Amino acid sequence: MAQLYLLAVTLNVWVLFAVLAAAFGVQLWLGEPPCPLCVMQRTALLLAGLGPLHILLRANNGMLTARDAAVGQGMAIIAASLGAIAAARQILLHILPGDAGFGSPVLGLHLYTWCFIAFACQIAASGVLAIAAGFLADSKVSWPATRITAIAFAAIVVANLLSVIAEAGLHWELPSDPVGYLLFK
Amino acid sequence: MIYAIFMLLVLLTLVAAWRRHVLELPLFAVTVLWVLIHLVGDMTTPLTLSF
Repeated sequence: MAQLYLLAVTLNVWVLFAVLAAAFGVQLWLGEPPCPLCVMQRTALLLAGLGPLHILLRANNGMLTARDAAVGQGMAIIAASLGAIAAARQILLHILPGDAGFGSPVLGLHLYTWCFIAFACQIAASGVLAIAAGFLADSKVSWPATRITAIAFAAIVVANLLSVIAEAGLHWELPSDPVGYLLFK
Repeated sequence: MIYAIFMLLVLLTLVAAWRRHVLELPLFAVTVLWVLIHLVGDMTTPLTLSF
């Protein structure tokens, strides 16, 4: 049961990693720097990843406890709720008929709509895993994927940090419709 | 820069989690609250973040 739980938590981190990497792909491939609300959604995705990572890193000493699992899932639900608010805000900004939306659509939906779906799925998944945590007996575990998962996640955090520094330059706020990287202008 | 600070706080929280530091949850809470306040500030004033 503990191994299965850690597998689910690890997959959770990698799914969030994939979503963030895809956002980066769109940014670099289509040449569309993220707007402020997009960056806030990315921040919420990163914060949501800290929940399952909390569980993985606590279990890294060989012991998985229901307490650590509950704390981690709580963190993920709070962060995903925050992200869902930001994504819903951006969806509502473009809800009127005739509004083309912000940025290029991907598979028919804008990135903020995909983000809302991702946050809703994260809340549901964390809810299920929080319930499952109630059936976890404190047990000894060995989980070799923790280190590589945490390193990959740290890399995507640093990449986002560098990206936003390049985009904002020395300005406190980002422009509402960014077209380039202010650090290089 | 404010968004860079958000990302930096996330990174610090991750480092704290890695080291099992007692500041992990406070850092997480501060980051969430700050992002939320920033978001609410955007919602309650004329469009400032995105259009």
